[in-house]
Order: sequence, then structure tokens, then C-alpha cells
Amino acid sequence: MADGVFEALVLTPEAELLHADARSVVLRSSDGDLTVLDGHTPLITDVMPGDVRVDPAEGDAVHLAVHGGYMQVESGEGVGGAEGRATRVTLLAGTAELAVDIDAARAERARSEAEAKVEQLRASTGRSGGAGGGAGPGARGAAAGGEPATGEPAPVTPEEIELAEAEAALRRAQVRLEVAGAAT
Amino acid sequence: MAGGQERALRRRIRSVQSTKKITKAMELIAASQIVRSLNRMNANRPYREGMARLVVEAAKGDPAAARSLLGVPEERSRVAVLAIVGDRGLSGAYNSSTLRATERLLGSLERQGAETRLFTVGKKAPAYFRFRNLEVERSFVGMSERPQWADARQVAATVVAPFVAHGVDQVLLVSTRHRSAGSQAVEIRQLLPLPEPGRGALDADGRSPEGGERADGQRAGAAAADGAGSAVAGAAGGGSSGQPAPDSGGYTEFEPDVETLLAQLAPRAVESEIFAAMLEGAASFFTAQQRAMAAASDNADELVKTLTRVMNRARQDAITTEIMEIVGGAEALRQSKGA
Repeated sequence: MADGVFEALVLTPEAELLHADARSVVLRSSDGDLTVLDGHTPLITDVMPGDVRVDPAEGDAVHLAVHGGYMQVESGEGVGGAEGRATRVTLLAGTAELAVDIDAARAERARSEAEAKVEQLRASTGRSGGAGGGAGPGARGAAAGGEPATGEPAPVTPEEIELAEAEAALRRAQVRLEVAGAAT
Repeated sequence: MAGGQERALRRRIRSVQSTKKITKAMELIAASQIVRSLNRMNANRPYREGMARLVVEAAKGDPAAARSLLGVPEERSRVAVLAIVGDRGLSGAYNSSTLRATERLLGSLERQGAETRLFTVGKKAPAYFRFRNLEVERSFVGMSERPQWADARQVAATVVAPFVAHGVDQVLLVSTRHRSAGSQAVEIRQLLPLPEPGRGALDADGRSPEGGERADGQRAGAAAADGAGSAVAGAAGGGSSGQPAPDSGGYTEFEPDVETLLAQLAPRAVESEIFAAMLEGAASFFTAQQRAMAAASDNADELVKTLTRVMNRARQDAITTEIMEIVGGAEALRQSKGA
């Protein structure tokens, strides 16, 4: 049915966050911003940490904070399940949450905590980081996994692992705040 | 004296009854945990299947690059084995059957001349292997009952790293599959290279069973029905609704290029498989525990019944003896009076 509506799924290991008929999905991949509409060519792409917007067939746009993941667009007859949609968009993310579920105050607290911890650990490990405390786009150049990818040389000392974790926590808090802000 | 025996029995009965209270409570707790872990298993399934679909599609995009990440390893001289068991006992054969299968697998790999490295999840594993002089390279504890995604990531990172660094040729997973409430079984699966679509469990020696490959459609149906089949296989057979897969292969686009993407995806797919295995393990653990505790409670009931019977007999004997003594004493008195 070419009514511009397709099946959209946002999945995490813990839950099916979203399963809806959608008109568009807007996200950022490592190649840049991307909007998926009905009938999009089959595609597999990584998803950068940040805001993902899903415009459902009915109702207001749904914002999600996605902390890195992958998206698959499938198209063809009968892809979209029982409703006979011709396109299905599946977004797989290790960690993600709906904007409405984000507790902005808690995210803010987490951000300042993570910031302090990163500062302190950077000082002690003597590693100078890139993004520092700069919220927003600066922190986006991170690996697609949202956290250090397994393929990279593994952090060696416990301090470095701790630092990597703190940086990841900071990045997550930044993404959450950004998405919570965009949704309101 | 007979009264002493009665007292001892009464004490025994009380102790069995309090044991029963504990086993009964554990049974109820396990039952509620089963529901929770099954819910988590079901919540995980769409992600797992989605990830499997994604990997299959990506592998189609670049068969050459996929060859090193997918299928049966050409050489198998160094194998990493990951065993997933529980942190606690009192769960029937749940831990021991997985551990025994792991031990057998290690033995058979070594006989085939392969070098093995052992990784474990669950507190019960290191003790078992230490006793048998098998070295555990890294063990994870405290995550078996309520596995978190971060735990699975950590485990996956540990077993993926040697494969990526070409330190091992194959990574095998030994864990308990939760097929249904009544059926859990230990299964050996290949984690890396990613198993080929259509291939599920391996035999006890870690080899693909001959003729074990069923028709794709059938397998997909089975996977959808009991959720135990290989997720990759389930997805290869068709969409989530079990329809034949639309042939979108060949013109799927990739961002970034498919080679980079595949290299990134392989660890993600392993994470997904390990997390699913941990969730299934947790569900199986509680199922086994509930069953074991129910049996223990029944057994306690039985024991109380038997002991009560013995105690009543002892009491009756004591009373009879006492009456006999009184009667005997009275008789003796009368006779001495009459004399």
C-alpha cells in the first residue's frame, strides 16, 4: 500500500521501545543526517548517538535518545507484517529511551557527576581528552557503539577503563539532555 | 527409655518441618522469578531476531568479507569456550549438566589436538573446574540471575577480543536453552565465527551434527514456536511472521561500507547472543530451582508423615510398657499382700 506509511521498530535488548506505523524516521548516521520515508531503498547503517525522531501515522512525533546502534531498512512485498506494509525500518540500539521517559533532572545530575569524574580521572591518568565538558555536537564524534568499540585496542589499566566508562556515561547524559530538550 | 526416643523423633519432625518451610518459600520465590525472567526473555526476542536479520543481510552484501566472520572455521586449533551457569545451587541438575557438558567438550577438543581457553559466567563454574584442574581464564560472577545488558557486553568483549586478534579460531558457547516450561536442555553453539543461517546447535563434541540441518522454513517455524532455534536461522527463514523472505539481497546499501560495518556488527551480534543465552539461562535456573524445591517440599511432607507414624508407634509402646509396669507392680503388691 503506497500510502506513505511503513512499519517502524525501535528495539533494545531489554524491550521493544516502539512498534508503530510511521511516516518518517529521522536520525544521524556516520555519513550524516538521514530521513527514511516509505519505499526507501534497502539500507543498513550505523546510528550515531543522539536524537531519533519518528513521525507516526497518527499523533505527534516521538523522540528517542539512542546511544549508538544500527538501522536496517527492508523493502519488498509483505515485509511489514500483517498490515502488508512494503517497508520496514528496524532500529537496534544497545541502550535507548523514549524522550518522555527521560528524567531531565536526573540526567543533569548524572551529567555533572560524570563530568567531575572524567575531569578527575583525566587528571590522574594524564590523558587529555578531546571533547572535555563540551555538551552537544562536540561529543558526537564518538564510536558508533556509543561506547568504545570492542575492536579497538582495549583499555589496559583499570583507571583507563574507568575513564572510558565515565566518558561513556557523560556522553549518554548529554544525549539524554539534548533529546529531552528537543522533545519539549 | 522409650520416652527419649519419642522426644528425639519429635525434634526430628520439627526440623524437617522447618526445612520444608524454607524449601516451600524458595519454591514460591523461584516461581515468581520464572515469570520475571520469561518476560525479560520475551522482551529481548525482537532485538535478538532483528540483530540476526541485520547480520544475515549484511553478510549477503559482501560474501568475501563475511567468510572470515561467518560459517565454519577452516582451522580449529585454538578454541575458546564460554560456559554459562548459575551463581547458586539448590537447582537440581541445572549447573552440573552444563558444567559436565563443558568438561566433555573440552576433553574432546583436546583429543582433537585443539588448544582450549575457558571462560565462565556463574559462581558455580570456577569451583567445579578448579577441582578438576582445568584453568578458567576469566570468570564472571554475580550476573547470572538478573543479567544486565552491560554484563553481556562485558562478557562478549572478553571472548570477542581473542577472536578479533586471531588468538582463537572459534568461540563456542555452552548454556541451557529454555525451550518451554517443561523442557530445558544444554546446548553447544558456535558464537564466532557467526553461525551460518540454518545451523543451530552443535553436538557434544562441538561439531555440527550431520544431517542436523533442517529445511529453513521448518527451522524458522520451530524457532518462532519455541524461541530456542538459532536466531540467525529463524530470521533467515523469513520475516518475523514466518513469511518467505522478500529477496532484497543484492541491492541493499551500506553506511559505512559493508566491510567496516560487518566488523562492527560481529561483536554486536555476539553480545546479543550472549545476552539472550544469559536470559534463557536465568529462566532455566529458576525453573530448575522451582522444580527441585517442589520435590524437596514433597519429600519433607513424606518424611514428616513417616516420622509421625514412627513417633506414634513409639509413644504407644511407651504407654503400653508403662501400663504393663503398673499392672505388673500392682500384681506384685497384691501377691506380696496375699502371701
